[in-house]
Amino acid sequence: MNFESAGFATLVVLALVAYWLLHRYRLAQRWVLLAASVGFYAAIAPAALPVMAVATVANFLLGGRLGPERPATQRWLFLGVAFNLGLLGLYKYYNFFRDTVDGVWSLSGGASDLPVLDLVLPVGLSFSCFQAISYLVDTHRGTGPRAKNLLDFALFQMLFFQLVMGPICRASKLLPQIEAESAALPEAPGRAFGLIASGLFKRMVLAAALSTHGVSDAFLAPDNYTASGLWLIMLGYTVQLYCDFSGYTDLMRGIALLFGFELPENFRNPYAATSVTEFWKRWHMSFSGWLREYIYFPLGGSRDGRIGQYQNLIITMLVCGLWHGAAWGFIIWGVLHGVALVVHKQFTLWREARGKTEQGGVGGRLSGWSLTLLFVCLTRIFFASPDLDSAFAYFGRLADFRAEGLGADRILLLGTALGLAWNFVGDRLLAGYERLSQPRPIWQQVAIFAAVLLLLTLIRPGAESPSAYFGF
Amino acid sequence: MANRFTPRSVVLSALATAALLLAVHGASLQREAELAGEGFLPAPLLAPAAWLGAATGLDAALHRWGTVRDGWYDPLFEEMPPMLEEPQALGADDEEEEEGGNDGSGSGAEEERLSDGPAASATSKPAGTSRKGGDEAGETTKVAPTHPDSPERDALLAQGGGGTTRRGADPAAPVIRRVLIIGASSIEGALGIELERRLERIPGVTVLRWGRHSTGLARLDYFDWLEKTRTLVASFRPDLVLAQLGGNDGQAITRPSGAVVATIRGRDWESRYEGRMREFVQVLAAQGSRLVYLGMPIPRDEVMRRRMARANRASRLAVEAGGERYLSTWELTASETGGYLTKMMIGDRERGLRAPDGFHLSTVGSGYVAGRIIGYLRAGYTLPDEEQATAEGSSGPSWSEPAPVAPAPAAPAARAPRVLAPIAEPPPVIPAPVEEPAPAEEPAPALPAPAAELVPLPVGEPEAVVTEPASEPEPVAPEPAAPPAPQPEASGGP
Repeated sequence: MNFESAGFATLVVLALVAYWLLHRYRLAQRWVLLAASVGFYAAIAPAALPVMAVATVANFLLGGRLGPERPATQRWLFLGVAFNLGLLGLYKYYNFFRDTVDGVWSLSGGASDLPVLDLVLPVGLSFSCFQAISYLVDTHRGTGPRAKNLLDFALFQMLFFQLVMGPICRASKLLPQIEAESAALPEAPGRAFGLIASGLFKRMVLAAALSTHGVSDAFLAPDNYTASGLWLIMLGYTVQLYCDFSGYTDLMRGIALLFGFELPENFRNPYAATSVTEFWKRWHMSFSGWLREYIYFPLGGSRDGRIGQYQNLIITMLVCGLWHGAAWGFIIWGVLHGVALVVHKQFTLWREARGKTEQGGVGGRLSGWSLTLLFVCLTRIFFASPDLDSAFAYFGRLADFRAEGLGADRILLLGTALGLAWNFVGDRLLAGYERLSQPRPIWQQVAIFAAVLLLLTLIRPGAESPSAYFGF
Repeated sequence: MANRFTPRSVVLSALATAALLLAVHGASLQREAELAGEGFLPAPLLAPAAWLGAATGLDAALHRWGTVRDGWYDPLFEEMPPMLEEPQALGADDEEEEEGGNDGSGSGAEEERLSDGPAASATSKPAGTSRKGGDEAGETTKVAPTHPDSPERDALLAQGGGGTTRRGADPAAPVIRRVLIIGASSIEGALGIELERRLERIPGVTVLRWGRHSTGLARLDYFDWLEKTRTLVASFRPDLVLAQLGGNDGQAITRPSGAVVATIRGRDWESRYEGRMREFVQVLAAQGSRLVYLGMPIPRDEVMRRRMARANRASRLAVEAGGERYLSTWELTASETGGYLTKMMIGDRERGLRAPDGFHLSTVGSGYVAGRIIGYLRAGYTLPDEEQATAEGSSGPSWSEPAPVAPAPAAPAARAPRVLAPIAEPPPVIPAPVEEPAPAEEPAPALPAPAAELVPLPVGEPEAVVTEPASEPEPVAPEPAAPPAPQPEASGGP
């Protein structure tokens, strides 16, 4: 079920109607949400439902044994983290591990006897496991609440507007909203409508147009394209990923608002960043925050001296790469970002030693922005290519300006320009929509929203955006 | 009125928005849900909206808008060489064939092997050499003669077959207005999308595409395509069904109850699968829809290749026995030696043909194959734009070369018994293919493509190429330079 499909829209409308018809019965509202969430998951990944159910129950039981008032429960925390990492390891990394071991064995002429497992990663498991780990750790530390019952915890783990691609929520933010005595309606419905419209525009129109215009194909067969085409496609893919993922987040945040939930911000104009460090404060913020809290800080953060800090940065970004998938391309991508963070840290220290600010003047910001965007785009090649050979072929072709092949088409150019522009002005457009909509009576706000929806469904290209983060 | 939400206003707003969208988009939303295989929008719920849309002309207006919109968003293939465009695709092919003199001689060689049986195949040239071997190739080619002035070629063209298809070449060919495209992941994905886009561009053609990945005819316990097809055909009433269902069928065949009918290694698998395919054909025949069944393209994996060859062969027998058309995509995606192609020269550029999984087609590959399929449809059927042009007594906008030959001598378009306008499969012309390198110890096999795959459908005499299904076992791939080994599946499939 695609998030822009009629099926998903129907699910949202039915759930919304049932949810608010039962607004006097909070418990019934929770059951409605759980039914919608389970129904949604059953529609997109029925085979994975038992896995999610087992993980939910297990984490709830483990969480019940943790708490700052129970200092002797560290082993339960260890077990809980190991359980979640084990699930991820089995479904996401086992075959990669097996192939790697097999490859190493084959160098000596042997072969490992590890079996090939026909496992399909349950949709959303990566997000769900990381969220569960944060719940267990926070409960153990006492920085987050413990779920009062299985229903609340199941909602925490499986809310349909947050389950598949995040944002990864901390228990301290989400559980209180689930357990609240009554659901809080948004004070500004215009914001919910605006977020939904923004998300649909980014996904249904921009990401879909970009994904169907040579972007994905170029990473499979870069030899078909000219160097200039590949440069633009590389930028186009970077923009597509932003439109796809941030569009999803906008859509889900808007829907969550209609149910009375406030989900955290996940993207804040990431391609306006003037350094890699700033980029990671703007891109997939819930995930980078998770990495900082549960990987970087426990590793020692910046407390281990400069070398130790740099080492921790690179390890954290390696984990970031691995989280995206079990492939060498993701690992290289993560390590490169770790190295870039180190380089930027060192550069900042060097500038500070000379009494200069980090940002610098207009020229400095412009060059910082260009270099950051270039770096992000180039490393996306490892991210998007099916294997390392294809990635290196892409790099080789980028430098071969005499090669003939396909160029990028005008839709790619237009979509890239619009997506990049949206990265800068999207927030202002959203605020403008809110200003336009909010003072009006509800029926007018709804009419404006419906008109925008109608327009979006009419201008969208035929194909759907493939949801790049769906598989992570 | 308040400008803030209350529970009541949320409910009313949600219902009002949904009602508005349903009223305007009812039919297309329903179709979208069907395409996604979702059951959230039952037809009765949308019946009033669909009726309203039809009565007010809103549906037609949206369709027109959609056509314009698709055109606006469709520049990728405009920048491709003409070969990829269905109007010019086959014409462009022919030019290359004529210049190169290698018009599908591989297919011709295969046909000869088939006609003469395994013994003859041992002495015939391997497909790879014959494809490149100009004159020699011409000698072995029975269906698609090389020389532009060849009378055989003229005869072929006159029957609306081969590589050059013509608008109105066969005015009595069945008119196709509603096309149902069904299948598994390829139809759900790139190939289905490309077919749909191309067909929808033809004025007067309505398309419904319904694909579900991981499904096929073998495992009715997992997904019952017979029932689904029955439902789809009953509701959509297509003139033509384009189907491709074999990709996931290289496994045991089961009944809806889950009972195993035949295992993949069993001797009776092929006949059982053929039986299942016959059931599928009968479902369509019972409801009066024509079928063009698309065979599977050649996969990269050896085991899968053998299985797909068997599925293709059985499918072809069943489809043709039912008086329907089988179109092969195998050789379109195979090298001149019958091996798996990762890239191919299209026009003057090399392009990736396959997805990284070695099974599905890439976007470019899908565009290429879809273009060829549309060419076949144009050759064998009358599409509404052609019909209109014929009715107006003009040749209409030129989407291919004007016909230099006389119109088709016969127009077999009768519905019962089903005799469709013949479509001769154009010989595959794949200039300078780049074959995936094979490991040194296991050279890329010069696999004779399966009988059901490489042989172009002979115009007017389909029975000439129908061979007995190879029984077992799976063949040993011959060396590339050696003649194909005389063994059962060497003539019947790899």
